Amino acid sequence: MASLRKSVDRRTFLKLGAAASGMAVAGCESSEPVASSPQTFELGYRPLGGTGLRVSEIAFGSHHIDRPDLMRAALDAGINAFCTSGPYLDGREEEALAEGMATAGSRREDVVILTGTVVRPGASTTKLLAEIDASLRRLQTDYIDVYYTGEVRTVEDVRVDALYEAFDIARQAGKVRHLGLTSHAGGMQDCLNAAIEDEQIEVFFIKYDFVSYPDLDEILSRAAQQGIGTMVFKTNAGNRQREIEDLEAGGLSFPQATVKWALTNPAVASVAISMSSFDTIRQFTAAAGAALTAPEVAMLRRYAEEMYDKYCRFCGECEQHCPHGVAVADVNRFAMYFSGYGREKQAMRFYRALPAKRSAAACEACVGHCDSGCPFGRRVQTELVAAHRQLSFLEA
Amino acid sequence: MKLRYMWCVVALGGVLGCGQQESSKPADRELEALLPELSSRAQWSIAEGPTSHTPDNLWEYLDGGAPQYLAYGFEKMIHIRYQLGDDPLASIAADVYDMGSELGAFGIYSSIRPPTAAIRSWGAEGYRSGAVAAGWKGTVFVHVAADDDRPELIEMLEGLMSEILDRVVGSDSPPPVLRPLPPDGLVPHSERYVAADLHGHAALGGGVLAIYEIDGRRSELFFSELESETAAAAALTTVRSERERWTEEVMDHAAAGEAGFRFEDPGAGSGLVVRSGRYVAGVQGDLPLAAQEALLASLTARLP
Repeated sequence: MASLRKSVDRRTFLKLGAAASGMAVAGCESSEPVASSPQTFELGYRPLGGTGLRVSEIAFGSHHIDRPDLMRAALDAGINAFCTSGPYLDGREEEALAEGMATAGSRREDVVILTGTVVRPGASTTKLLAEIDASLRRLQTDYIDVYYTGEVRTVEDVRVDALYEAFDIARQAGKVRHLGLTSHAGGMQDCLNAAIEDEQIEVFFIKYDFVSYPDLDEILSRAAQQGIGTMVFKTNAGNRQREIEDLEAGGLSFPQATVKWALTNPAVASVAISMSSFDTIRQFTAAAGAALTAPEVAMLRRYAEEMYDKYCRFCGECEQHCPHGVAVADVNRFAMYFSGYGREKQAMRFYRALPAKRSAAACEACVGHCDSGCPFGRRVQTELVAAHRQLSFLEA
Repeated sequence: MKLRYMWCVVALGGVLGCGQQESSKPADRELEALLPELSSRAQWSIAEGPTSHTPDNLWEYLDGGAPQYLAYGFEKMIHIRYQLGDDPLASIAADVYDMGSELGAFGIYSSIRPPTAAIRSWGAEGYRSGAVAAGWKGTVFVHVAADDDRPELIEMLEGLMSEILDRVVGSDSPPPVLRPLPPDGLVPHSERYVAADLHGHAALGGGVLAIYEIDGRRSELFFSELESETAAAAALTTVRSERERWTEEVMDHAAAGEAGFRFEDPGAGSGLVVRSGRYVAGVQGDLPLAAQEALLASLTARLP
């Protein structure tokens, strides 16, 4: 197993913006690399929690990719974890993986396959078992290493009886080995906490970045203690090109740095990357084998500073603090249409369509309960007052 | 990266005669107006939405798929879920996308169209595969998924596809970017426009590919337009170096082009890749070498 590079104080990193002037990211105070040997390009492998599986630090994310030659190239590069899905591309991703494994001559036990489907409350056990069988046929294999319930958004999505019934039946038949969940929604933390509490999910496959979800490290740490393995995706915190272009000066790669950052967490076994080209495979396998450097940390820090109080995580905390019932997220989105996309008339029309009590008309006279409600320090009330003026065409 | 993708869309569209794209966008670009009224559909109600998504928050809706849509020029999407009676598992989710151009709408549609799907005459083209349907017209791409394939759900799904795409103002014709594809041997509905990483090569950017069948054997033909002949030569060099790293055998072969190489891939079959002017074109699959050369020559002769 590759050594875990955790020279960065991750908790401090996540608190950027809250104390921007006083922030201190360990290793950033000098110009030296955070780790000592950034030229060591060796893809490592990590245990996936208590599953007994070992996965490459970079996983092949196959969303919308049905090229067996890319999958074979990834296997050749040492990537052994493949994240796919039954519904995507009508099953062609799974078929391509089967072909890629066959032409690479891979032994089945050397590849870790994650696949799954979306399971909502009220789902049918019979239908889920049929979906597992369909995935097995497309993958041309006898078993799936990790079968996941996808796009989990609420605690209710975690607690679907049919999922556990179907999984138990399939596991007893040797068709699936471990149960996972994928999530990237605003309420993800609640879902993960519920899964930890229920002790049935063995693998998390989730969104993870250096800007969102400040309590996620603690959740993943608890999950790890319970033997839950974690693989992550979407490490690039919104990937906002406008901010990134300036930050990548000097040959730095923002996406690669975000992957290295995620791998500094010992609870993270692997980062799934959408591998749409041979070049992507080369770049990210090299990135995973290299240490996060001080200039890269500085780049991420600057991005986090830029984004911290601009980046709505859709957590809904502010709306819960509003005594007037203002539709904060909607108002902010309409304001974005107005000022960010030049769709003034459309934004104003949307705003007019809101129920009067959900508009931001009352915000100016309010004391600003929402400001204290935003865990990321966004000046929500100020934004709402400005949005109301803009969207209702009032003079300041 | 996104800007590079967009350049490819613009470059291919512009050079190959996509001038009609702007004029065929929905006049008010209001996707909500494309959604049908429910008054004629007894027992159906709106269970969710409509909610809208933009390039800034599409990733919150699509689980890992947002970059793909952004690469094709995604501008806006409306999501709505209809429900039959009070059964939460008898619903249909409809996503209506404004992809910004006809090429983008065709591109994302063709990238997900299953090879064996039943093609339908919705909009410019559509298909249904089980409980999923998709189609495109003008700059609009529509994707509709039912919870399962019960007849009452499929009836609603097909009705939605037809009604939404009938309301779109735009061209029904295939994008002009496909014109260089030779007609002989072309497998119907196999043409795709790829916004980036054509054939797995980032150096090629976007391009076109299609399946050809001759005497029962198949190959995939593809081409990409680069900025200049110099850029095409550089892209060819990169493609060759990647093939040398990831496939078993690579050798010089300039037939049907000004420079090129031939390769043997243990999985996808043999292939040829050549440069022709500012284009890089290739063929890969089960066809014998002579047939691949002829197909590639036919393509390069039709390139502008």
